[in-house]
Order: sequence, then structure tokens, then C-alpha cells
Amino acid sequence: MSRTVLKTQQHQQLKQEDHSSLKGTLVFVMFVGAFIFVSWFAVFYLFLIRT
Amino acid sequence: MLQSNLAYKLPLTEEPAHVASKDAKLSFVHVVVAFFAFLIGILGGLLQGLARGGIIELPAWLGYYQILTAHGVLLALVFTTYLIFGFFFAGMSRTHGAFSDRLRKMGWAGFIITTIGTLMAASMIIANEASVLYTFYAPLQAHYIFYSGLALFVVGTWVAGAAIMAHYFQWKKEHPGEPTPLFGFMATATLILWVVAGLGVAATVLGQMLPWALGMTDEINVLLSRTLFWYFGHPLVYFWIMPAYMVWYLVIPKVIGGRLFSGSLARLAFILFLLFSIPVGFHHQLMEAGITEFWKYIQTVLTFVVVVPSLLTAFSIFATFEQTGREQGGKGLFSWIKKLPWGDVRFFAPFMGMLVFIPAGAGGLINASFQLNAVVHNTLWVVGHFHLTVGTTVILTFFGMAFWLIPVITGRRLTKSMNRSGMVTTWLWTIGMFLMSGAMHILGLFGAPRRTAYTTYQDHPQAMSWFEGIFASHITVAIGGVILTAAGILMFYNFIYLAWFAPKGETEFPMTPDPDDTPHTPALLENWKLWIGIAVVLILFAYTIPIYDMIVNAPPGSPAFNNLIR
Repeated sequence: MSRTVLKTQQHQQLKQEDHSSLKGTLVFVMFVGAFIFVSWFAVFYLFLIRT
Repeated sequence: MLQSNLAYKLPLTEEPAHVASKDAKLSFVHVVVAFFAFLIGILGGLLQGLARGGIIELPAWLGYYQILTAHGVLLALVFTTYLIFGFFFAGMSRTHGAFSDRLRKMGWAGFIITTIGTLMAASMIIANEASVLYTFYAPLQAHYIFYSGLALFVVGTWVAGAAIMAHYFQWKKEHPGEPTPLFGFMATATLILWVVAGLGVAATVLGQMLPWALGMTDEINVLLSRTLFWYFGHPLVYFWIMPAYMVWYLVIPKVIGGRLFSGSLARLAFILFLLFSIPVGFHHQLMEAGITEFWKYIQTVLTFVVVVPSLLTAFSIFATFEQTGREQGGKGLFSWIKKLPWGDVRFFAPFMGMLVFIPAGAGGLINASFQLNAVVHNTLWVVGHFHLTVGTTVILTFFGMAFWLIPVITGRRLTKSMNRSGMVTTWLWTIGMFLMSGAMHILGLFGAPRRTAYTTYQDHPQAMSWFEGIFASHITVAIGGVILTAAGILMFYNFIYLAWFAPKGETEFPMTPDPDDTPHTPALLENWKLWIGIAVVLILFAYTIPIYDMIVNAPPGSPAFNNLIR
């Protein structure tokens, strides 16, 4: 009986931890970083070919 | 144990708070002035945009630069400032309790002084005595009433700001050892920034421009006036964006049914804005002679530091979305996004603003980089850039805010049809801005200049070729401008309906429940004396030597050039 309760608690905890996942946020911030990087170098390239 | 991120799972610790009716009235007058200025501003933008594209010709009594000045001043200065103060008065009353009679009177005094200043400046623009654009750069000279109006405008906001800050510090005094409410903390950081930044514009307007316009001096030190302007001008950008961030940090989490990811991170971001958004004005003057490379370099480095709190904000807000979406049953890497309230204008309009801030922010980093600035300086790229930052990110966030703030302070309800109208407004504004600002960015990269009326550049083939693209053309800019105007008129209708015609009822002022980490807020973050002290040290470090140099080794003074763009 107590083992079942323990297992349920563990299961609930796992479920709650899943809620705190920030994998999507990680991908988003990486995208933002990449966007900044690419746009910056695109204009820097314009600077280089014009000088 | 992890706590739930969902608002409805949180124990109710207190009764839902309201905006006191007398404070609501003070907030409301600010919102009313803001939206009437908005209407005139966008109509000015339409005329100016069509004239700039060579599609219409302005009548002889209406100058291109006159209308451009009206557009910039009314939208970038008047609309934003009044709406921000309307938001602050309502939000402070909601989170810190009703203002005392004394402080409320101070708020009214601030409103009246600001409005007198606005009317003085506006009357001179209407009289074509102040067609100096919203940056009012010398040696273009406006009528002294315009400069006096500007000074009163700034002083009025200081008086109103003092009332808000006094209300915050009163709360802090009455609750020793407790972290202050996030709304008051953020409003105070924004207002301290505004006051410190305003010193620069006050110095140039009162110390240089007003005596010059009154004929007390014949010449003006242009380099110094531009430097003092940009000492103010860049933090002005943050004065616009920080209240928009407040909506993202404090309101949006509640609207989506969750709560903010971290209060301490939010406080840290606002402290970093206070510290690093002022000693950076030289990145607007990178192409200017008279400032050595060393000081330009120092301020560029500081500019890149002020990117950090914006990146912290991007992380915080997205983390809030993700945690809330997952708790509402969203799975996988991104499918939780579906759980967000896409049909709710209070969420959707600010969200589109956030999305636009990605290219807008990236453009800002390009502007602030010395070599890249040489590519885009004084081109339409810059106009496209600030139409994304203030013209979309801030404005769409403020649109979203209007749909709950106005009903809250007028005792009305947001109806379903008004929500739909708000969604249409948001889409129109986004599409219009994509066309207009997108075309401006590309034209700017080709080299098309800003701050010029319609011209074919003496039919020079290279200049003509800039505008021949399918997307990068005057036509695209004009179509975008027309769509934006339609969106703006619709938004004005939304405002009128929400203010006077929506059904009476109770509307919630959405406010995130306290984030999990609130009890652990580092006391250091609330040490205002420390942060103001560091901000002053950074400003003195970045500006003392260059400004001393501009005064001691001043360039030749310039007489007024007040007839060039009339």
C-alpha cells in the first residue's frame, strides 16, 4: 500500500518537473541569438564590399 | 517542491484590488489626451508618407517638415508619455492603494503643466514656427514658445513622476523589510531614468536653445546641443520600452492564466536599464566629428551592455509562456504554444509587439556598431528601425493595454465584438508596418536618405534605381502607411467605444500573482541609493571629458537656420 503511494508521489513529482521544462525557451533564445548574428554579419558584409 | 505556475491554482492571499475612482479619473484624462494626439499624429503620418512618396502634393499652407514634426512629436512624445502616465497612475493605485489627496493633487498639477507645455509646442507647430522635427536639432531654430513648451512638458512629467515615486516610497516605508510590489519597483526605475535623462534636454533647451531663440545669444554650440539631446534621447527610448516591458512582465502572465517566471530577474533587468541606458548617447553620433573615437568606443561598449536586460526579458517572458502552457497540458517542444490565448487581444497585440522586437532589436545592434552605422546612418533604415521599436513593439503593447486599462478606469467591460475589433486592428497594424518598415529597411541599405521631402535626386540613375524594386519602393511604403492609418483610425474608434459607450461593468486589472521567488528577493536590488549612485558615476565617466572638451574646444558657433525647411 505504502509503496503504491510512494510510486504515485514519484509519478506526480515527475509530472510536475515536466511542467518546468524550458526546452522550447532554449530553442527560442538560440533562434534570437542566431537571428542577431546573421543580420549583423549581413550588414557587416555590405560594409566590407562597399569599402 | 515545485509550485504551480497557474494563477487559478494559487491560494488567494488578498481580495482583488481596484483602482480608486479618483485615481481612475486622473489616469483617464491622460489616456484621453494620448488618444486624441494619436489620431492627429497618424493622420499627419498619412499625409507625410503620401507626400514623401510623391503620390500627393501638400497644399501651399501645409509644409512637409511641419507635418513631419507634428507626426513625430504627437506620436513619439505626446501619445507615449500620456499613456505611460495614465498606466502608472492606475497601476500604482491598483498595487499600492489609493493615492493620498496631496499626491493626487500633485499628479493633477503635473498633468496640467505637461498639457500647457504640449499646447504651447503644438500651437507653434501649427503656426509653422517650429518645423524642426521631433529631434529639434540646432541650428534649425524654432520659436521660443516651442522651447518653453518643451521645457514645461518635461517639468510637468517630473511633477507627476514625483507623485508616483512618493507613493511608492511611502509604501516602502510602511512595509519595512518587504520586497516592494513589482509594479511600483518598475515604475520607479522608469521614472528615475526619465528624471535623470531629462536633465540633459532641460540643459540644452533652457541653457542653449531658449536664450538663442530669444535673441540673447547669436550662435549655438551645435555639437554640445546634439550631445545633450542624445544624452536624453536614448534613455527616452527606454522610457517608452520599459512600460511596455511592464505589461509583458506583469500583465501578460495573468492574461494567459499563469504568473511571472521570476521577480528577481525582472527587477535585475530594470536596474540594468537604469544603469546602462543613459551613458550611451554617442551611438547616435557615431558619424559626428568632434567626439573622439575613444569615447565613442566606450559608449558603444556600454550600449552592448544594455542589450543584456532586453535579452533577459526575452528569456523571462518566453519561460513564463512555456511553463504556463505546459501546466495547461501542452506537450512536446512547442505544442504548448497552442495553449496560449490567441483570440484575446490583451495577449495577442502585445505578443505581436514582442515578435517584432526580434528584428527591431537586431537592427538596434546594427545601428550601434561603428562600421555598420556607416552603412545605415541617416538613411531610411533608421526610420524603419524606430517604426519597429516604438512604432510597433511599444504601440502594439499599448494597444493591447488599452483594451483592459480603459474599461478598468471607466467602469466598463471589454465586449466580444470590441475584442474582435482589437484583433483586426492588431493584424492591420502588423501588416501595414511589415510593408512600410520592411521597405524602409531595404531602401536604407541601398542608401536612400531620411529626413527629406519627395525628391528624384535630380533624376540620378543610381538614386532612381533604389526605388524601382517590387518591394523596396515608394508605393510599398505608401500602401503600408495607408494600412497603418486605417488601423490607427480603427484603434481610435476602439478607444472612443471603450471610454464612453461600452457596457458598464467590472473589469479586472490583470496583474501577475507574486512569482515563486518573491520571498527571496535580494534586498540589494531595492537599494535605490546604490543604483542611482552607480548610474551617476557611469554618466560622469562617459560624459565628463567629452563634454568638457566640447565646451573648452568648442566648434565655431552657428547662427540660426530657421527658413531652410519651412
